[in-house]
Amino acid sequence: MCPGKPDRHFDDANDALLASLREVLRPEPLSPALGDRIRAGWESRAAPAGRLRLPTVRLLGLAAAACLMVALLLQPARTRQPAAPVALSPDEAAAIVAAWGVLAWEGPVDGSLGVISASLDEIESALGRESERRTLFPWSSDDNWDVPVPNDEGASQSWTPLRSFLPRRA
Amino acid sequence: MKVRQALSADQRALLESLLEEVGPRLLGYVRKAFGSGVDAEEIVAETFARAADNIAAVVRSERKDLYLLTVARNLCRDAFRRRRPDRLSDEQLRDRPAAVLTPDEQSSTAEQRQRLLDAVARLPQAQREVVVLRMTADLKFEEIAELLGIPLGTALSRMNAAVRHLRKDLDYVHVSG
Repeated sequence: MCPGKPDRHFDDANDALLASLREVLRPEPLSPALGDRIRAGWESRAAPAGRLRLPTVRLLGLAAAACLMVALLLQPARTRQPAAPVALSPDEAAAIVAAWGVLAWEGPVDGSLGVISASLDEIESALGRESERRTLFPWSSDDNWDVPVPNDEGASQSWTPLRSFLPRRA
Repeated sequence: MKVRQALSADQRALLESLLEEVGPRLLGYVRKAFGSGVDAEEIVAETFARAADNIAAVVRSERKDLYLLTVARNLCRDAFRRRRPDRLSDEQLRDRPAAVLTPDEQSSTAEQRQRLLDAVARLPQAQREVVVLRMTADLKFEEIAELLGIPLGTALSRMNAAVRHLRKDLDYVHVSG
């Protein structure tokens, strides 16, 4: 065989082999029994016996939701007693204020100051110590937080731990 | 709890047409590509059951035959992980005496057919799968590459290697006329 010249005998043999392969590998029809078995399989999957159909589940869900709503409506109104005021120890109160001091002086940017103010109000309210509010929190959300000038009066009265968080100013 | 809806008439008709058109190719592919390593009929039945499970995906699929072949292939691979097929190693195959076909033998269609099937079964799995996908599932090489997740060149080279392998294994001599 000359180099670069196609080997006709080789190609013919390949073609014959491929033709034989196609012949022996040709798919055969499915037997009727297998067809029936396959159909039975997909029917059982699509509508399994003993399982709930989707409309049934929806109806059950709606009924359950309706029962829940009725139960809530019929429930006698419970009288809520205000929680007993939480008496913080000086250490606990100091820890709270110290944490807020960190947030106030080191953490917040413009966008989060409002969040801190609101949270501060929530804490004050939850503690239920309205009468001591000024004492517990030396400054409030009404203060100008953009220019954090500490309430020196409150701090000097009760909250010496806060001083360590105050910005050092020249 | 997985909630299923009954198949609509259209969906059932789609599955019927797929069973008729793709079912034989699917069964042939599983049988000849994976041999005795799997229960081919069980694989095909499970493939169609899963198609019914995911009928919406089947309806959306542009190539439903490739969808079913992919499901069947994944099922076969799962089965293979549990049970390795009986196959000669490459060393055993190399040491095996070649089956030399005389012209008389070649004219014996049944014997030649069986020898060829045996030789295909002895091919390395990767080559055998390409051959069967081409010849039995009647896929183009681009589709074979997509199904197997391999480059087109790899699919073609596997086919070429398979043909060389078969010729060597069978000492295939074409006698024209």
